[in-house]
Amino acid sequence: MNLKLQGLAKTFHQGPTTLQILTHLSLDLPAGEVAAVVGESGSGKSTLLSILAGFEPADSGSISWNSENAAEWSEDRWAVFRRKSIGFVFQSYYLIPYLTALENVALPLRLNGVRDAEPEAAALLGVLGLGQRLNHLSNQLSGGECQRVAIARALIHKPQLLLADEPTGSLDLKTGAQVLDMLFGQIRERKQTALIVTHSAEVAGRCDRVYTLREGRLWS
Amino acid sequence: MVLARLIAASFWRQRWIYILWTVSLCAAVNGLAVIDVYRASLSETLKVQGAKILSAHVAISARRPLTEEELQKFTEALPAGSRMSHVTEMFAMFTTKNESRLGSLRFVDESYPLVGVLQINDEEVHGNRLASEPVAWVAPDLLPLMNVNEGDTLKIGATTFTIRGVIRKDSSQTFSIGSMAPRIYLGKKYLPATGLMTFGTTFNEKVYAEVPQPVAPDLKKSVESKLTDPAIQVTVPSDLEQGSLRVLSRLLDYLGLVGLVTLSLGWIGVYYLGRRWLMLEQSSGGLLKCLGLTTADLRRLWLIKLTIILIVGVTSGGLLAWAGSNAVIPLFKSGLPEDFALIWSWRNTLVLLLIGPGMGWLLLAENVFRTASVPALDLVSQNNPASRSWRLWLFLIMGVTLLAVLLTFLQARSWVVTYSFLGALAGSVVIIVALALLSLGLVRARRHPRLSWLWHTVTALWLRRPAVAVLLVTVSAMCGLLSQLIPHLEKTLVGELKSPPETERPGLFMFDVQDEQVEPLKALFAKNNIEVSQQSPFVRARLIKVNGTEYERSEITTFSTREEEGDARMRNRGVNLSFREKLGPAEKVVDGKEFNDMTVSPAEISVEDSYADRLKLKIGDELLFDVQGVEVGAKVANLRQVNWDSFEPNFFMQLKPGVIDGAPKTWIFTLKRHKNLTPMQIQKLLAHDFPNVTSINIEDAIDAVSTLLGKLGSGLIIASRLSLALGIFVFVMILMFQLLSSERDWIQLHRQGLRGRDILALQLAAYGSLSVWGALLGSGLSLLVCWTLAKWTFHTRPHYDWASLVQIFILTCLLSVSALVALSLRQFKQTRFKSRFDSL
Repeated sequence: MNLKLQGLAKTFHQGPTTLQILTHLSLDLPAGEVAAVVGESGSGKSTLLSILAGFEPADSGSISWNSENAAEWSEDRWAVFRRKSIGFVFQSYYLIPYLTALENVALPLRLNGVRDAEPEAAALLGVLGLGQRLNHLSNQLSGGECQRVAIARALIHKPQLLLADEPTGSLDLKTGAQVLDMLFGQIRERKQTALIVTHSAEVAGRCDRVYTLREGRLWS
Repeated sequence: MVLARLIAASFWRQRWIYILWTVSLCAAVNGLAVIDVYRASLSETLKVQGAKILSAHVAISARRPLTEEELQKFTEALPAGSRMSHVTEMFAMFTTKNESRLGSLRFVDESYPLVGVLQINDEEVHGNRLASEPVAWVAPDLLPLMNVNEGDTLKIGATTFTIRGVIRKDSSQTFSIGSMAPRIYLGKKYLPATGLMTFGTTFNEKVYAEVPQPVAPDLKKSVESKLTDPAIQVTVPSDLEQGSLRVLSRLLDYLGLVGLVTLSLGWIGVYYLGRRWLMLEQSSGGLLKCLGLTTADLRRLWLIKLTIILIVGVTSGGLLAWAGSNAVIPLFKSGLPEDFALIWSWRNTLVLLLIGPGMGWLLLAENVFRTASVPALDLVSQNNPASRSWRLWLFLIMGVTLLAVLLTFLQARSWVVTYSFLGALAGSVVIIVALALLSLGLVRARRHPRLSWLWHTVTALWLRRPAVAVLLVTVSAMCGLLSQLIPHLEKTLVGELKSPPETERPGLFMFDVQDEQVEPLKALFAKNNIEVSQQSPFVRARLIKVNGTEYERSEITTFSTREEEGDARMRNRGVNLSFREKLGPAEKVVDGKEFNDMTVSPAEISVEDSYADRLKLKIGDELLFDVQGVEVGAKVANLRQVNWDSFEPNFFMQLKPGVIDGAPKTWIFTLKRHKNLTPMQIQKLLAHDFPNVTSINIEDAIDAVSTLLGKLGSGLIIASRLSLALGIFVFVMILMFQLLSSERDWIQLHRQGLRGRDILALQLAAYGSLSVWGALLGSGLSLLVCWTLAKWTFHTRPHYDWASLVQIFILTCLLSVSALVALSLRQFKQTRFKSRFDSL
């Protein structure tokens, strides 16, 4: 999947203050490429991911997925697109508390109409080293385990684009490195297009291309 | 399928909140559902058994003999093949070998009962068994009461009857007033021989009819169209709810209102849990949206969950109500018809759906819709959803108000009671909330920097979450108010009857005294040193015109409100007039001319104020009466207040002597208590010499009414105790979630160096004091509401049940504080600081 952003702009209003977060931001991400976005806190990295996943609209500009302008999509169209084509890894992993690790991972498949989703989910969790933790709830897992479940959930339905927001930001160094190995192992194996927001030089170093978000624009 | 799996997983893994929610809803709807089961069963019983209870498919009755012409018209109104049975009912004295007593006499003809069952000893019988010789069938309680057995004799008027059997089953028996006037069946052909029927005798002449099936739905109308005299009442089985089953019907009305308060209390808990549930669901819902669920899908998911919970809750409530209805049958046994059977009808299901899913959707569905439309990431991070629009607020308030009015009216069937009840409920809540807010305001204003750490933290907690503080106080106060008000009201009503009045009550009340019996009666009293308290003439009349306009008979035959029913009764029942020189000790003029200044020509009349209110009469109105065929006019000169509990002869309408003195009349006497003779001994004297005169032992009457009130009261007391339990449950539930949501605060305080026992003290001070404050407010309000109701509704002095007040106050405080301690200790154990809290 080709992702093309042109002239993307986003402004936030906080009382009398207006914050111009993104200004005429452009990006061209070819299929199979893994890009990192780095930048200072508050530079708009997470906002960019939110816009790309359709969580919030841009003020202006175009988001082109395989030449289709997604900026004009309805909320429901975005939801369906996310369900089929996007995987999202949050910094705080955000698992659904009343589902087990296996059910959390199987959920995207089920949402896409796959009936017998559990074996595939179990297999992926096994690859990620969680074969013994399939039936545990999120409050019974460690931070690193939760993040691995979140990665599995983001990848299970083979999305065309993986978006990850500080995927190891809440983990200690050792666990973070393990999770990162697994994440990149899967991305490379699946030839996944991915955009990863990070502060970490190590994460950025593993990506094909690194962009810096500054003054509302991406600089390579 | 995915939604089903998600729902199943969340129900199972977050079962505690769902169980709590179900239990709250179940408890909330249970009280009202029990009352509704009784209502529906009563209606169904009347539909199926109504003819048996009435002993007929249609009956006519009058407080005078029915003429041949009227009987002919009645016959003509009935379909061919109908059968009729004649009955005369009256209260009169009967004498055994030992003593005399008031009896409820039924003189029946040979074919009685046409419909229904009368079982004497082990045999179903008809009135023909009473026709061949003067024998009587008596209620079972008469035998021990009068120390007689089958075969002994009863003297009634001038005739002696032999007790030939005991009534074992009587399908016409509805509400028994106990042993005050036991029922006695006698042959109608012996009525003239008793000599009880003289001029002015109070009796009820009834003709029952059994018609061939199927009974025409307009049977009542066709009879009424033939018999147009308002003095003749036409009754069909469906009228019984407003007739002989009125006491039970009214009791169910009042219990229904208590059930509504319980429902309101329960719904506070259900609504609170609903909001907590939605907060819990927010982050999962946000994640689901991130994973590709649309807003519509999320709404569907949450609404399905909400609906399942509401339906499971009301289904459990319904099942519990069914079990509860069966369990409380003994309580109402004496007030229920013989063949009463509990049934579950579509109406019960409809009411349950209205008070469960209906109310739940109204209160929570908008929240669900609004929350589901919040952007995914805001939901995940639990940012507050967009604020509610004023239109939606208005819609919600209007919806809840309409539902409350509808439910209250369904229970009370009176607009006056509906508005008074809802007004009182809303007023109480407003007063409680206002006082709670005022207290918080005082805390804010008086919060001194040098307060101890404990009270500094406690007050900070209250001020930071004022809504929770106010909610806890309100729940505690409402449950205190409701559970204490009913004992106060019961004591006020019974107390008024039992307490010594300002003037001494008479011992006996006598009526049906003929003009010519007055002097011999006085001679008897003089001979036995019996003192007359009051002597009043009694003239029967009909009000035919008010200010020149016909005072029409109400055409309404089925009543949709209590007011319509009361109005129709009032218009149809005629009036009793009297005259006296000066007012009695239990009367006082409250508006208009003094009684002594009333004129005879033109005639002026004094009207009891609440009676004037019901008849919509005012001072200056011109009334025209038909007094035994003679028209008599009088102008309303004043309104009078009467203390009816004095048991003296008091009248709604009273003139001065000189207007109707010549009219045919009977006399009412009251006798002062005698030093040596008991009321029963005086009754025996009277029954011997004046068999047609009926006398009531006033102490017996007070006991009978007190017993009746006690029975009604016990149902209400049970309902109020259930409300107390539910209120405490809701309080504890809110507390539990409050403690859980403040867990981080407690851990933080622990890290700051507070010991477990310090935190427990803090929680007790913060929440225990709110419970005590709420219970105090509830107790105070119960006194205030009781005083208001006693003064303005019952026109009597309030009697407070201090013992119940103290007991319930202590119980409420103890239960909520114990629950708080238990919850706190449980929470300590579950925190990661377990070892340190173990020192507790």
